[in-house]
Amino acid sequence: MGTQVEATPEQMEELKRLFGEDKPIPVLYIEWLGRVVQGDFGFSLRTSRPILPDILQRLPLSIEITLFALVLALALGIPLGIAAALKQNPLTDIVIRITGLLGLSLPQFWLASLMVIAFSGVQGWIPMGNYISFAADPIKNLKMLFFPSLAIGTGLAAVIMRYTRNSMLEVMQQDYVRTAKAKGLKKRVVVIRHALRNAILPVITVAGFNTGYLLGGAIVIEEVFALPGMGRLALYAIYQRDYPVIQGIVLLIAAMFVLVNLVTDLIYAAVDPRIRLDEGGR
Amino acid sequence: MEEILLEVNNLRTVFDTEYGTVKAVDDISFTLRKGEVLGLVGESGCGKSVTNLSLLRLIPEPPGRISGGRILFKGKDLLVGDEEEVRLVRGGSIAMIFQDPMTSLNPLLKISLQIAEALQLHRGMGRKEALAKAAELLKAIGIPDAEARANDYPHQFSGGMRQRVMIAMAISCNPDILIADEPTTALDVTIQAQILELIKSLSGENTMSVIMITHDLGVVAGICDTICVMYAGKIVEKASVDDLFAQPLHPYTKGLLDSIPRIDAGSRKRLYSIPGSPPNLASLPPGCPFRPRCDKAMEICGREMPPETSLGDAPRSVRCWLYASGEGGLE
Repeated sequence: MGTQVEATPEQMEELKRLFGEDKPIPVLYIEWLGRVVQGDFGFSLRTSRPILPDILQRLPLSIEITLFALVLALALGIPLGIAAALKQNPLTDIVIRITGLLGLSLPQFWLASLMVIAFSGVQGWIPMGNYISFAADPIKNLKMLFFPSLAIGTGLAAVIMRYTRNSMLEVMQQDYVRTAKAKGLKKRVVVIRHALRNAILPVITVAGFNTGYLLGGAIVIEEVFALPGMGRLALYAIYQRDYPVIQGIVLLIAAMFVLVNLVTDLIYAAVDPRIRLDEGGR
Repeated sequence: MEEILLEVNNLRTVFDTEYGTVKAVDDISFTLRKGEVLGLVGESGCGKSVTNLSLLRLIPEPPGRISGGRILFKGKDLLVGDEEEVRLVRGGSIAMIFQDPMTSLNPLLKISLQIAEALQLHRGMGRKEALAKAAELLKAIGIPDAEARANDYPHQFSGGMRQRVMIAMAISCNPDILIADEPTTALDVTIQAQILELIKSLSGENTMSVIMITHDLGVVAGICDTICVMYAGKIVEKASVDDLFAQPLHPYTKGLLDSIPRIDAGSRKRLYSIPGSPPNLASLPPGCPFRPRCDKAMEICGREMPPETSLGDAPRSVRCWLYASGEGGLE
């Protein structure tokens, strides 16, 4: 921080009053909440700009990476999980499971750095501070976000794969799967229509729960790939001790967490008729 | 006599487990004629269900494995060839009903769709036609307000209704053979009677053959023509239902019949039960598996499994040294 200049007690009092911190913390918190619900997140300590517009400007990119990562995680995790569960060959199962364990254990930032090193020579795949928004050019945008999303989604892909595998193994033992086989259905129909639909239920829960964490992962990864998302805003706010900004971002992430859980419950109800309350039992 | 529809010869099904190879079905032979209702009776774990799953090659492999024998359905061996050939027999010519209707239907799919699936597959119906036929079938097996209920999910049905749905599903494609694996075990007594009555009437109407698996001799007496008594993976006695109840031969069969409470017996008499418990199929003793529990056991019983001895008119036969000619001697 260089040379430190001590502030006089008078100056401290003056600043506290200026930032509105001359009241007890609970009171300050209630007042802050009161403003937040009206859309006023306060001002940045560093730039003196209103916080909410800054966050909202960067939020779409972070949400896009998160969703992209979720899609990749599902697209990788579910088919591999099914394959691991159904393959009679124990070697396939072992290879898939070890890959899954690796995917779970590798730190995201390390994976991301490897990707940057490996693919930075390939034009357009690694963003180099030349971020193009989805609205400007969807294809270039998705190309650019592929590796960042993959880096974030790998861990979840591994988790989804393991849940799908275990759930699938369990469901394949169920009586209704035997009924489906006894009906003469093709194996593919038995697996997809009868087994997978049931096996996917716990996977939905896990995926939903972890989507919130993906958003957290975006914070680190946006920095590695130099993407102007909310994560980067958060990181700089932390470096600069810009507390009101940090507070605003944390609140938004928490809100997204709750929102994702709600969406998960709605999807769950759509898949499982037993959960739909409106129909009920007759 | 009606033509033979299904002929099972020396069927053996084993399970490879960590305790060794379990012979769940050991050298079983029987025949099923057109329109016949065959009962397969025995205690839990005697191989009844495995026998029937083996018929359609539905044994989970591994650990299960059909290690020998032939299953001739209309002259064609179902054990030869790849699974794809048997698949089209499943649900089409041979259909099954399972023991527990609560878990045998897919909880996430509508009832009508689960019935329609079989029709689309085996009868080549379009989706709409199959769904309409499904509702019709539900009506036929006695589901009130069938058209509306067809669009319900299994959890909205009671156990008895679900078993009716299973039956509707099984008979949807007019199978030649219906295999019913303890179809009434999980149901209330009043519902049991209804379900049995339904199966009986369906077999009469459609000249459908039935293999009824049960441990309930009351069920057998009510609807079966012929009975196979199973013990430890083997059929120990075969007889028509009248012969079996009138004159049981095998000591195990006698024991089973003596274990039924009788309304005409004195109320103070203690109910008979066969001493001991069924053997562990992973480590069967040599000779007859019933020997340790048998009050008529002889020296030879511990050495050799008795052969199948035919007595009187077919299908009457028994596997017991008491009736085998030759070294075992007679009573």
